[in-house]
Amino acid sequence: MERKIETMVSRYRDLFIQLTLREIKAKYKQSLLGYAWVIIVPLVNLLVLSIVFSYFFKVSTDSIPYPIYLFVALVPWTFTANAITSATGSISANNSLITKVFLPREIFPLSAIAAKLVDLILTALILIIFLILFKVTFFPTLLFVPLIFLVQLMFTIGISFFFSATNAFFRDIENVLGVFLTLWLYLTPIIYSPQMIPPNLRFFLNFNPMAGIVNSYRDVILYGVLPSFEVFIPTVFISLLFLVAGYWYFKKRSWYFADVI
Amino acid sequence: MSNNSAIKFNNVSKKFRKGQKLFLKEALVDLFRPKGKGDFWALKDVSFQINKGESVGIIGTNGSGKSTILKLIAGVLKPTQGKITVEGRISPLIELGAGFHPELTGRENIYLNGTILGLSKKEIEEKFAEIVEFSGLGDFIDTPIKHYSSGMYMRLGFSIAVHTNPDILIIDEILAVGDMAFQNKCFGKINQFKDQGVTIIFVSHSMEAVRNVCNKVLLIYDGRLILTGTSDKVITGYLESINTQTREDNKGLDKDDLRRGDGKAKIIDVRTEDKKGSKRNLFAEEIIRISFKVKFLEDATDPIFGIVIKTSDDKVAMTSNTHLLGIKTGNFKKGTEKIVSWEFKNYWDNGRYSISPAVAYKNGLNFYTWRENSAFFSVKKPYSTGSLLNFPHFINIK
Repeated sequence: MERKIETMVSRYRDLFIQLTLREIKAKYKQSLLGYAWVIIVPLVNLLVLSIVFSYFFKVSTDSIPYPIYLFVALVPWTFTANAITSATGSISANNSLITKVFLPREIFPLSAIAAKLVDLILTALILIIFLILFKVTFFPTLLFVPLIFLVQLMFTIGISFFFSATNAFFRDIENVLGVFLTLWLYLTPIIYSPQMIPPNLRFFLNFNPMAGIVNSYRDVILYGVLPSFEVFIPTVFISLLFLVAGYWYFKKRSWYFADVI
Repeated sequence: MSNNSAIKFNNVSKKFRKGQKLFLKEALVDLFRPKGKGDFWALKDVSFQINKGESVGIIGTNGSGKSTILKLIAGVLKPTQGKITVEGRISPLIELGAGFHPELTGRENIYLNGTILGLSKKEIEEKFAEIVEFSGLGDFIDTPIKHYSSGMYMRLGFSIAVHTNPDILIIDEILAVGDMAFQNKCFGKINQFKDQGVTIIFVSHSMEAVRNVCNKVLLIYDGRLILTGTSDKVITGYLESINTQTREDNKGLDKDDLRRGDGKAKIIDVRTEDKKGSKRNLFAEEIIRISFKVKFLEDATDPIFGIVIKTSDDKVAMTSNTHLLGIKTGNFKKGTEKIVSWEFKNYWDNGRYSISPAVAYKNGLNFYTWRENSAFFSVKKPYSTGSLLNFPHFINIK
């Protein structure tokens, strides 16, 4: 019995790796510039947003240069947004497998998210180059980045479970997702600072884990301070809630995937 | 459960909601319908036991519930009622290329598909040479598989599947494609599995293939198991029941008896005509014209139109398609209707023949639609040769 469990784990680990590799390899083989796009797209975004919001709208970020202030938040945001998009389509994209072979279905959104980690690493490298170019001090609080990322990952996986499972039943999700993500981007203090939100509305940021997450990144990377507890604790709590509830929902729905897709 | 049982179904039933509600709009419309109206039972109270090492065929008309049984065995569907016990490692011969990615090379796809079918990376490494050898792909193994022919595609798929060391092998109709030489190789491998005591579940529309592979056959009709027994007994019973059923000529088309395909094109009207274009079902020595009307529900690029003509005992009498004849069919916009017609000289012997038309994707592997036995015609000539063929010839005595 013990051996059986052991082979199960190694079997699905290998499958997880292979599915992730498929996503990664297919991506860079399909287009001329391949992985260069992963860097080009956020850089263009950064350039456009920097020009618009630092020259025309004059977003005040105190001592921090606006492009850096923006990029520190834009990099993690792009990861979450892309991971959710990719995971949402993962069940319908793999329908021929899901209706024929018994596999733990969560492996599909999870490998879609894992493949996006490569994008994240590449953009994070660009971010580091920017930090050096703009002569930003490297604070010891940088050590907290992995912890914040863990929270971000829990949240990303949790919400991806919701979307991918629902999308198996209603393909509308795929269509609505783009609009939803754009709205979400503007409701999160990414291109602007949380201080610009009227104080009586700031309370609502607590319900948006992405706000807590990008603010925490800014705190530890740009300001060298730890994120305030009243921001970070609710963020951790909500992210964990999303992960647990998302997994539970996905598991429940996954029994009916083969019935409908 | 006795130690000998590999698969056991105890009063299994499976209910589906009718139609796929993939869009919110449809689900909203559904809210206003009385509850339970859209349900339909794909399987009703099915019980059987398959012992270890048995080779069992499952036959039945389209939509009778064969695929549902396979999916329940594979564990991808859950029964609505009843209990299923399966013991051993299952390897499904999945739809060809289902786990393949066209941009990846043959080598990369072996690793991908192998892990999907339950091998570990280490096991694949050990069997890699064997898999390539069996597939006969040689140097092409490092070419992206989008450059493969459909034959190479299927050889690779089958080769991976048979190297997974299954306890239970599920084969669903996939041997219908591919060249004769490779088909023989596949049947050879299946026989080898049988000798090794692997349990084989075989679904096919070819009674010949079922007879070759299986010693026990289950006949499913309308979601119920109606006959179990030796291959000969069940197949004979099945063919008889089909023949009586199809007396009411060419009526089956009203039902949506889609056999394979995604339904993005529909075959509406299959008919047989004489040279002048009037409808008829009985032919002597003349030209037989077979035509069908196809309607595209999505845009289509260079689809393949084809037909298979079969005898009443399910032997293939003729296959033809636009790809074989090197015809580029062009592009069709959503909503287009076209009539495709064939003209044959009537070289067949007396008997009753079925027509199965299909519309396939450009790659020849996936189908828009495939209608099994959707029309019939009979041949009546002055004499019978007692064989498949009966064509004009001369005898000289000098």
